[in-house]
Amino acid sequence: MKRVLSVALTLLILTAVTTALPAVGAGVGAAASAAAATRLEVVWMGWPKDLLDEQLAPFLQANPDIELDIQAVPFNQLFQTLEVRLASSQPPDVFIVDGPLTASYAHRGYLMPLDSLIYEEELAEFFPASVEACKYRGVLYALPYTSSAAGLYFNIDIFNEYGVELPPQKPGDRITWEHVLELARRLTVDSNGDGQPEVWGLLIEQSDRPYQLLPLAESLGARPLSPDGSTSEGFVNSEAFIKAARFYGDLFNAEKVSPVGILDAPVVREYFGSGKAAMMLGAEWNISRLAEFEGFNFGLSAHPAFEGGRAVTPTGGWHVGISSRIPSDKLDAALHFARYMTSREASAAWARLFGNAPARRDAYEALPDLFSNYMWEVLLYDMEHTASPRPVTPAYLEFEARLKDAFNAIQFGADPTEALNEAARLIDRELARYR
Amino acid sequence: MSRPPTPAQPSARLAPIQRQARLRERLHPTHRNLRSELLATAAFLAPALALLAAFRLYPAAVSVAQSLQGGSLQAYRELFADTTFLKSVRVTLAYAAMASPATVAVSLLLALVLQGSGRVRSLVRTACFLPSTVSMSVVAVTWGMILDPHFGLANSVLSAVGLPRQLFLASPVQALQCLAALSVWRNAGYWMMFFLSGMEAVPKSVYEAAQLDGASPLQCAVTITVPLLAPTLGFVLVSNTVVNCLAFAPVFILTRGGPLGSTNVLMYEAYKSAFTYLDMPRSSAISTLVLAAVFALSFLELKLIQAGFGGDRQ
Repeated sequence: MKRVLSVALTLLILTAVTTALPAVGAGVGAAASAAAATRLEVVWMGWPKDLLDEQLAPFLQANPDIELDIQAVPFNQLFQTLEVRLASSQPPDVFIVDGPLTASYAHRGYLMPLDSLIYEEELAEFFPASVEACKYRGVLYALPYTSSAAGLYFNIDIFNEYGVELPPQKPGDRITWEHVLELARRLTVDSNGDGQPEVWGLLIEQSDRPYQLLPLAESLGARPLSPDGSTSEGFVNSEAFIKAARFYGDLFNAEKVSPVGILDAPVVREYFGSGKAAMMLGAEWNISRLAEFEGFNFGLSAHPAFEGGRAVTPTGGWHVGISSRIPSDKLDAALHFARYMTSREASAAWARLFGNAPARRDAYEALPDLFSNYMWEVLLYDMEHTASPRPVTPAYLEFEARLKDAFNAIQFGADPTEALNEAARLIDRELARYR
Repeated sequence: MSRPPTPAQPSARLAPIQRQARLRERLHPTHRNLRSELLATAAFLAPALALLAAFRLYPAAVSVAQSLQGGSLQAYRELFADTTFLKSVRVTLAYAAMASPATVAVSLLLALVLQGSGRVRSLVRTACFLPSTVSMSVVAVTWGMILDPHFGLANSVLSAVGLPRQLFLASPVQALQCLAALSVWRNAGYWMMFFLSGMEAVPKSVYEAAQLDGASPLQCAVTITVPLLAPTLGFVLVSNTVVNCLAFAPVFILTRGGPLGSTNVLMYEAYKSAFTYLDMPRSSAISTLVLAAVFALSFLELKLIQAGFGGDRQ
């Protein structure tokens, strides 16, 4: 028995020692490299890795004393991952912030206030709306990385094949949603009669996300929250909002000009880029993304508005935030990195690489060949004249999730009034927790 | 000429007695031996128990504490008045009620057909087991492509043979059934192995006797194999039900609880509550209730197995 016991103890000690050794080794390694370089942990959006590498290469080359641990997370998991990481005892040092979530993160103390760290002059080149979106209760909590806009993309070949006139392609010249529906009816084609159209009339890139759907309701004069952001009852389920939601639901159900259940933006783009739809309501990055489909002949018309309604287009973008709990010896490196990512060079580079609209004027001047395209002119016009930011509330994450659930249900055939009444009840419950 | 037998050495004569004494000691340990035996047992169990405590019991305790938020049962009260939660309970039960019996039936059938030796049989057995070795995420993504309502393989096949196209995961009626089918496809091969090993334990003589009496293979399966597999059957059914009550990955990857909440199982609702709606007490309360239900099921499983063994002794 003694032998058994001593063997067991020896094994245990061996296990403990072998487990501890690499840790000690790692500690030594970390200490050695800490003297040479500051390691920044960065949670970033899961854009294609080759593009991210290209974007970061100049920074890494110019700053051999900073190491970047980039953790790129796919869009569908990004916000949940950030929730877990930010609430943990070891949050990332720097992280990407979706514009409307700035208030939510700032409210919960996750973001480092930047007022005393960033000079006023540094913000001069950013669009004022983008800087405003980085503030919560007047305090700057992030730096603008990108802005955004959306418009109506169309497949020129499909329009020509069915002899349908192309939508206008001039800045500010937009067709009505009623007209879009008419076009979609004509261009939803089921040639073999199996009940499954070979060509769909209209796709919505983010088909159940408030970002691209709120402007429909706003075009009819609705707004999702009260002006002070404290209540949604009577706003998200107002008559105008329900009317817009009904129009949206009908696209999928009564009219059947849009396919139900294609919820992932890359899949939607794949459908459109491979000629399976005539039109797509999509954001600005599609100008670059769609150009990757060989022989794909597409154009862009300004974001539609309802007949008699207001022209309203989505906007808002990504921000760069620094953790409020970053170790003080890392703060300089983090600020340096945040400044680089939001610089003229990096903004322009990212616009060229991925196609996001820069949030600063000088980046547009840096790439005249890219932005002199008529499609960019259409979008830039709307960014200046019709863009409507999403509501500012510390409960944005919950608000968006509940509204997304409602849009999703409406897409699958739920009654818009019921779905939005339920959304109002749930959103108000979430908002109450922040009072 | 034979040598006279050498008298046995005293130590050799004592050997059987010493052996007996050692055996007696092991069967009826003295106080000192018992202590060192306990120590050894504890030393062997300690690493496993430490991991269990750190990664299972501690989080479970934290979850229970979070759900009670300062000793109040508010989160639980809200849950039972919450239609979303109650619908989620129904969805989870419906999912388990579809997936579990189907998995057990398919795996038992596979085991009955594939028991015995032979190259083809072992090849097919391996093929059936393969899906369970693939990660659930890979399975879900692959099936997502197959079941795509607009351009998926499944609808192409249906169209080719002249059957109407289906919405599959985009249909509030079919989505849960599709997820249950996916679970059967992935798990049947795994549980089949349990049945196969259970069948190995059935004495050959029983089958021989039945064959002598003129029983057909089907009669053998129905009257001998299945009844003697009762303990395994109970174990597989309950374990599989527990697994299905905890389903998360396919829902997260394929349907995100939709369409219209038709696949919003409890674990996904708990996940959404925590990380989308930032309501930790609600999420913890759901997890705690699921934990309690799973605990009750496991208890039932133990009882079933004991009953099965009791039956053997009679």
